[in-house]
Formats: sequence, C-alpha cells, structure tokens
Amino acid sequence: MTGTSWSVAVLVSAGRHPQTGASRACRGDAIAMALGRKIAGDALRIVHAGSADEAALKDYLALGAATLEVVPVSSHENPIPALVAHLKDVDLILTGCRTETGAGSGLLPYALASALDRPVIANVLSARIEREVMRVEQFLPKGRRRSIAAPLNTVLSVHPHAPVPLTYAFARQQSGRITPALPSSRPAAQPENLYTPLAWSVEPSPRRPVRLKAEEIRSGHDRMLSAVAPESKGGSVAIEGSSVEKAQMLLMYLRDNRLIDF
Amino acid sequence: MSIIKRIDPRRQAKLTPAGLRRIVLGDTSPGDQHPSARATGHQAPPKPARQRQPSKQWFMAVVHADRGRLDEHARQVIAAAAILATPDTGVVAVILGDFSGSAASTGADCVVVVPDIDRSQYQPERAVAAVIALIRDYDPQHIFMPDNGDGDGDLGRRLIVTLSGTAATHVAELSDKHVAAFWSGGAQWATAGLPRFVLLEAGAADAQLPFTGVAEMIKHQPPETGLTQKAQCRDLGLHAVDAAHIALEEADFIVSGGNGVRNVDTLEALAHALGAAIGASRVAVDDGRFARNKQIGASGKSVSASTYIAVGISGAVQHLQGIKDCRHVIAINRDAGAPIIKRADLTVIGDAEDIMRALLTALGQTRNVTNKTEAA
Ligand SMILES: Cc1cc2nc3c(=O)[nH]c(=O)nc-3n(C[C@H](O)[C@H](O)[C@H](O)COP(=O)(O)OP(=O)(O)OC[C@H]3O[C@@H](n4cnc5c(N)ncnc54)[C@H](O)[C@@H]3O)c2cc1C
Ligand SMILES: Nc1ncnc2c1ncn2[C@@H]1O[C@H](COP(=O)(O)O)[C@@H](O)[C@H]1O
Repeated sequence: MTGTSWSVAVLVSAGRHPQTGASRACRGDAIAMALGRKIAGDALRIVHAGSADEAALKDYLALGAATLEVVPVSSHENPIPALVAHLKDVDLILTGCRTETGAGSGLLPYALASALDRPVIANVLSARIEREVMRVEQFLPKGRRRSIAAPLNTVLSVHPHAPVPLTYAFARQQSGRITPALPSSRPAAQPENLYTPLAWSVEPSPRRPVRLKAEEIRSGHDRMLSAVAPESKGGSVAIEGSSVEKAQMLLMYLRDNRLIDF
Repeated sequence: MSIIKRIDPRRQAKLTPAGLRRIVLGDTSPGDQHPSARATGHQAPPKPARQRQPSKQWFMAVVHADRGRLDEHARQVIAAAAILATPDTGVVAVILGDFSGSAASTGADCVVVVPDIDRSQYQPERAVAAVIALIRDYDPQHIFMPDNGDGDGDLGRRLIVTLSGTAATHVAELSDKHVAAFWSGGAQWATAGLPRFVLLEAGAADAQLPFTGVAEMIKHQPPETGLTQKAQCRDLGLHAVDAAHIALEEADFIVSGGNGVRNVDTLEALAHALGAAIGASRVAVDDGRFARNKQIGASGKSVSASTYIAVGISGAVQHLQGIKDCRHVIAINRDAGAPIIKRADLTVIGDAEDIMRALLTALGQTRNVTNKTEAA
C-alpha cells in the first residue's frame, strides 16, 4: 500500500514456549503483526522495547518483518515511557493481547493508550480503514462479534483468533534486519498514568491454586441435612398435557429467562 | 469434677413419623417436636447474615449482569469480596446492566445497579466514569472484578490505568494477605500482596456462601459524561456468528441429542430455528447419528452454554460432567425417572419427536407473530 498518509506500528514482545521454554515469537504478537501487514503492507513498523540481542526477535523476521526496530529498554524498566516517546507520531498502534513471559497482564495497550491520550479497543479480530475512519471487529465470547467505528489514532490489542495467515520463511529470517531505533527526544515529563507495579515473587514451579472458600462452622446436624437435601433444586417437571402444551411451557421458560428474544 | 462427659438424657430430640425418638445434634429449635409440625421436612435452613459491625470501610466488586442475572464468575467475585471482608468492612457490589436476581445471596451488603450501562453497548468512557464516581463515593480498599473477555476484564484494565492503583490480573488464588497467578503461560507461579485492583480468573473463589449480605439495593443513574468526555469510538452493533460455525465450547445455546432421538433431521431443524449449536451424547455418537466432535461429556467436550436442551438423554454422570457449567438445563425425556431430571431446571416428559415438532410449529407461529407486529 503506497501513498497512504497514515502510519501503522505493531508492538512485539519476546515469547517463550510455555512448556519447553524455547525462545520464539510471541504467538499473539505475531498475529497482531500479520494483521498489521494486512492493513499497511510493507509500510508497517515493527517495534520491540528491550534488547536487540533477544533471540526471539529473529522469529518475527521469518514471519514477515523486513526490519525490526528495537527501542533500548533494560529488562527491569517499564517500557511505557520509551514507547510513548517513540510512537507519539504513529497513527495506528497494534499490540498483542498479552505477553508470553512474565505477568502477561495485558495492561500495556491500556497504559500506552492512556499515556498517549488515545482510545483503546481490546480483542480485535479485524480492522479496515475507510477514509480516515477505521472499522474494527471485536471478539466477544459466546460467538458474538461487535463492530466499532474508531478514529485512526486508536490502540488496538489483537485477539489471538484474528483470521490472518502466519507463514514462516527461513529466507526472510536471513534477509531481515534488527536495527536499534533512532534515539528520539524523550518527553521531559513522564506520563503520569502508569499503573503502580506490584512486588511479585516468582516461583519456577507452578502449583494448583487453592480456591477461596468461606469458613463454615456447621453442626453435625447441618452437615447431615446438606447431604440429604443439597442446595441444588431439581427443577419443575411437566408430565401432564399434550405435546403442544408442553412445547408452550418450554418456550415460556426460555422467554421468562430471556434466553431467546423472539 | 469428673472428667467423664455427662450426657443429658432429656436433651433435644425429635420424634420420627415411625414414633422413634431421635437425638438431634446442634439443632437449637425446640425439641420433642413431631416432624409434621415443621411441614418443610428436609430443607436447608435459611442462612444467617454475615456477622457485621457498622461499616468503617468498603470492599467493592464490579460485575456485569447478563440478561438480568449474574453468571457464576460474577457471583464468585462478589463472594470473594464478602469472604475477605472483616466484620467492620462492608461489601458493595456494583452491577452494570439491569439486575433482577437475589442480591442478598451474593453476599453483598449494598448493591448498586447501573441499568444504563450494560454489555450490549460499547461505551467504555461512560462505564469508566460511572464506576470511578462510585469508587470516589465509597473509597473501597480493594476492588474485585472478573477477568473475562466479556467487558469486565476490559473495564478493569481501563480503571487500573486511569486510577493508577496497584493491580493484579489473571488472579487464580487469593487470601486476605496475598494474590497468586500463573505467569509465562503456566510455567511460573507468582505471588504478591493483595493489591487494590484484583482481576479474578473464573474458579478462584467459591460462590457458595454460608451467610447472606444485607443487600440494600440502590439504583444508580450514571451522570451524563458524554459531554465532558468525548466518546471517540462509535458502536456499530453486535452480531452473532452462525451457531453452526462456532466451537461447541463457545456456544451459548446448545440443543443436544441422545439415544432417545430417532430423527436427527428434526433435531437439526429445531437447533436451526433456535439459533443453537448441536451436541450429542456418547451413545448417539457411537451410533453414528452425530459426528464425534459433537460429543459432550467426560470423554467429549465440556460446554458452558447458558441454555442446554437435552433431548432423549438419560443424564449419565459422564454426560453431566460435560454440562456442569451450563446455566439453564432443559430436558425432554420419555422417562420420568431419568437422572437428567435432577439436573434439569425444567423437564418435559413425553416423546422427543412429538415435542420437538410441537416446538417447531410453535416457533414458526411465534416468529410470524413478531414479524407481523413489527410490520404493523
Ligand atoms: C469411561 C466412560 C466415559 C463416558 N463418556 C461419556 C461422554 O463423554 N459423554 C456421554 O454422553 N456419555 C459418556 N459415557 C456414556 C454414559 O455413561 C451413558 O452411557 C450415555 O451418556 C448415555 O447416553 P444417552 O443418554 O444418549 O442414552 P441412554 O442411556 O440410552 O438414554 C436415552 C434416554 O432417552 C430417553 N428416550 C428414549 N426414547 C425416547 C423418546 N422417543 N422420546 C423421549 N425420550 C426418549 C430414555 O428415557 C433415556 O432416558 C461414558 C461412559 C464411560 C464408561
Ligand atoms: N517489551 C515490549 N516491547 C514491545 N511490545 C511489548 C513489550 N511488552 C509488551 N508488549 C506488547 O504489549 C502486549 C501486552 O503486553 P502485557 O501487557 O505485558 O501482557 C503484548 O502482546 C505486546 O504486543
């Protein structure tokens, strides 16, 4: 796509295979990148905040990035201020839904949008630009989708189910380049809307979470009672009547509980 | 004094219908009563209210209602707030969307319903403004929300960055001291102190509470914030993907056939008329009437539909395992003693084929009626 006046960037993070721990492109971010390429073609800018030596980044080259800009940020530093400075002139910013390493909180697109004072839309399946307006399709559970008209300067976090092809090519991995981003003048003031980080302590071996349950002081009698009369009610049973009446009853149930809207 | 425990031979007892005297442990109701005097028979006693002192501070739970009800995840979140609350802490539940369920059983002491802001519309700026106004009012120490893809997770993250509070997402375990979550796709386990915003995974807390809340209901009209804050995105509406094309696990409405379904075409027509996906029991799948990927149960798929219609399915435990997360279960069965009846909210006894056909006719009729009124 040439002659476009707007610019598009995608944010990619370093991924790890959850079982083997092997470095790889973060799946969700690779899908966001593929959606970005669908929108902007080769004009898409691909940005990572971190170290240029990160082994996982080569994967993005193989998946179609010709050049990958790396904004230098040390691993314990919050990447938002650097990303804000680097991306403030970019119109459309795409991200994945969550990272594969660390918390994967999915907060970055929100924090970025808030720091740049832009709208943010989560769980995006597709986006099309039609004359300065973007038409976005959002994923919702239970087979529902929502269409949204958004301005161009929106931050979109892309849902992993976005229908885009991922093709891996070794030749592209060899020809692609990882370049340090041009140093940009950092804003004097730090964006104020940064969420306060928590002090997490991380254990390498996960365990089964313990469910939070209310403490119950019950007498033996109560326990016996709840064993013979569990709280779950058996529902109503329709035995009498013709099948037409029973069908009406079933429909009534569906309507009363607003399970059908006709 | 003797250390031997003495037993009062005249302590509380009940007379059974057979005339036997039965000692009842821990029951405080007057003894020596004939059970028929307490006509209710075996029934769980009403739950006491949570032990309370006047609220010095608040915990807040923010959830969306779904068609007037709370789903299991939302109930768990309110329950978590109620379990962690100390006696001098009140629990305020903010319910977005209209709500007609029982508020006290959720464990909340105060329920603020915001009927204007529901899931059907995309208006994040208004939702954020409304909840922030309530957070200012109550100044809760902790705010609990479901971490789901259906609006709450999105709203929670917007609140976190707007108020820049401490936050934990995807929380799988919590107590009054800590939160814990899986990191790096389940390869790591991270714990931290209980932050201000807690976005809970489904299943982190048990929604069953031994107590109830006070549940004062307040209807809240959100301030018209559209004026101060420009809504930058315009909602173009919701649409549903054709039920036949989504995975069973994702489906919201399932019509499922078992060994009692002889004519699969009728079932398919019914599913089509209701906009439902099709599932099946193992016997029906083994029989070749349905594809293997339609099988629901222990050795098939686990589904979480709001509505599950089981046609000609006996309700073996292996099948019930697959539908434990379904909200409304309706059974059509010939046998009034089938185990599915214990699970179903409504059971219709009769021949599957007859009832499905009657339903199809009724649906045809009602659809025509709505079309006519729309045309009129
Ligand atoms: C290890 C193991 C794993 C299993 N995993 C699964 C699983 O994942 N999913 C699963 O479904 N099963 C599973 N099963 C099988 C399960 O135990 C039951 O055998 C099976 O669910 C029964 O299927 P059904 O209800 O369709 O058939 P049936 O038990 O034959 O029940 C048919 C029902 O239809 C009713 N009926 C018959 N004719 C009519 C009519 N004309 N009109 C109305 N009602 C009628 C009958 O009254 C009866 O209640 C498993 C079993 C084992 C041992
Ligand atoms: N260091 C980083 N560099 C570039 N993009 C990132 C970085 N960290 C996170 N992102 C992006 O932000 C999304 C959400 O990240 P998170 O909030 O950390 O789960 C990811 O899917 C990436 O697209």
